[in-house]
Amino acid sequence: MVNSGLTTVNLGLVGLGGVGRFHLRNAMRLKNARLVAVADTQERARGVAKAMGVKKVYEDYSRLMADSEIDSVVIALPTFLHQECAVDAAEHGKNILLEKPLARNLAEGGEIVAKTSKAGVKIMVGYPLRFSKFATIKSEIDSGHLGEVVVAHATNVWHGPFFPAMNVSSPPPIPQWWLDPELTGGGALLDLGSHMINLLLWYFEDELAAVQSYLGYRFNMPMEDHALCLIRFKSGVSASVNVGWFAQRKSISMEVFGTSETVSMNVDRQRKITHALNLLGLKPTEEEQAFHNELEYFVNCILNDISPEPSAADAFRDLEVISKAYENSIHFTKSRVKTK
Amino acid sequence: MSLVSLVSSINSDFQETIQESLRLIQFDMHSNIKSVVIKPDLCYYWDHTTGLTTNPHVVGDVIDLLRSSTSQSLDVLIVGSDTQAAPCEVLFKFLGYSRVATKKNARLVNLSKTDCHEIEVNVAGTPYELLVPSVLDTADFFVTVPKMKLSSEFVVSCALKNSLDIIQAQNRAINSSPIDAAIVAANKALKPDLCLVDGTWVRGKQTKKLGLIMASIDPVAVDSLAAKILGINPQRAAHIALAHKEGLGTITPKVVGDSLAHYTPFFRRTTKDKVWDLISKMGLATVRKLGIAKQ
Repeated sequence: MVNSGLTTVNLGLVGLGGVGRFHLRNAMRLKNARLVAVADTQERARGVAKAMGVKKVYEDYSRLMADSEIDSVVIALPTFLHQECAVDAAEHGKNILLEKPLARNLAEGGEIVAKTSKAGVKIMVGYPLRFSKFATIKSEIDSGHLGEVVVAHATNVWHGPFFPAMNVSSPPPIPQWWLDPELTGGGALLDLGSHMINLLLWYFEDELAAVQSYLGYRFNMPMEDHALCLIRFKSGVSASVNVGWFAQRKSISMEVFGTSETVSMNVDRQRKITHALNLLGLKPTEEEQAFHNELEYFVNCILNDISPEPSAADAFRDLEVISKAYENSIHFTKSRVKTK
Repeated sequence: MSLVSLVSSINSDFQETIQESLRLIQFDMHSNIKSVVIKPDLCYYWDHTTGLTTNPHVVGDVIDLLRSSTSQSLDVLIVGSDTQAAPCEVLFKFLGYSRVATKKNARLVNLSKTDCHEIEVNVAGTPYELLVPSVLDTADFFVTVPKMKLSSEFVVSCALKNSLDIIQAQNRAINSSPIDAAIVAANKALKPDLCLVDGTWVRGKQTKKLGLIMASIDPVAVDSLAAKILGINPQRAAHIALAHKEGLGTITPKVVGDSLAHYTPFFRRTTKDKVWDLISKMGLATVRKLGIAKQ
């Protein structure tokens, strides 16, 4: 869908879970976008959207897709619904911002790439770190400031789908789909590793030579709750990706070591005063700001008829690396080691 | 005079530590006991090394010890309940209890799915009719293996709070009662025969690895000592004060084994902590009052 001449993007938001609510708040704030409708199966979530002033609130997302007033959709659904919903959106001619990961597996991811391409809609996959301070590393690499990059270390360790103890006294339940690998498509490597692998592939614009992963099962779930992934690029750059769902504290960092310089970046621990201001809605967290930047960029791409990045094809490459990492993995449990 | 033993383990073999803690309180397990119920604290998907859930290795060693004191055929039930946050069976698996149960030939029981009977108790003149899982009456022995931790809701969570978890699922109405009275009512209905507090990892302001096992037959006494170790005056926790007042135990027990002073430096509260607590409490109350917190 080409929107040349438009000054406002009419958005629909599908899914009002944790990430969906970031998009909800951000969509209401954007000057060149209008949130026309939301869809969610949970009555309580729909109530929140109504209270925030969203006029059209659907239980079934197919009604949102059929709404001709909407030209672009943000899909923040569980991974097992990505293919179905993204294809539906494409067939209705909607531009798409789809939350990462692209899909549960290569087959579903390939279908999304093919169907959106065929429909001629714009599709971007939501990787908020691309719109955070981690983006500055890309320009440092490209400028030659680091010399030739030899090694990179990427870490994304936190509580994953669970709630950290310091934020809640009575944590709410987590959606049970998170505990079913058939529905998630994988564990921490897919969920958190996709962020870091996407950054690495973007930074180095390189092809994969080899990948090996070590998967850990501390929490006795049928999918890994932590993983170490070692990647070798064809240019010779080596990278380690360290991810986990086991920690109470969030730790996201990237270190890139070049022959001239080293650059490192991490998500700062939120100070109490920042947390207090955030609770009062006076200051966004780094994470909220990244989601805001991402949505703003997507909307600008639609208005200016630019193909947004990361594209579905980019996210498909991330999925290819992760898929190979799963194929070439060694599994650790607390008490034993087993090969796949 | 209630006795509470404090013993710390040097390594992660807790059996000797538990044995010593029981010896110090002169605990004698009757050899004719045929079945035992063990209640760990399984509040959420939090690893035991956060200090928030009971260490499954401690429970495994408790099972070994109980069997060695009674009979190898002792029927052991590890119990939990569904919570708002998670189904019990999922937490059993997630937190490593399924593995312990298999290894130690114990049964895992979700109390939310078992038969109950009604018990009437009285707390501060108010009668409470509680549905209590019958399995706790039919078992010969009830061991509570709580965590000791700071709690924004209860000030301190330990043995007394661990009993509330058992009845909450079947007694939704109790959630509308004052929380201190609810905890005391639960403990009147379900007084443990033995409290073995898992202080291997302790959650205060930060998590600390203490390797501590605390034993007593008095839940009020262990809660009082847990509060003191965590830097809290036990009287500040309304449920501990009420439980003491209602005759469930003492807040001034005799400490045996390690001295209390050995543990109190770990969680000593500074004036800054106390001021911040006050500000947080007032700030949160104001935010709630004004309704300006985020949706």
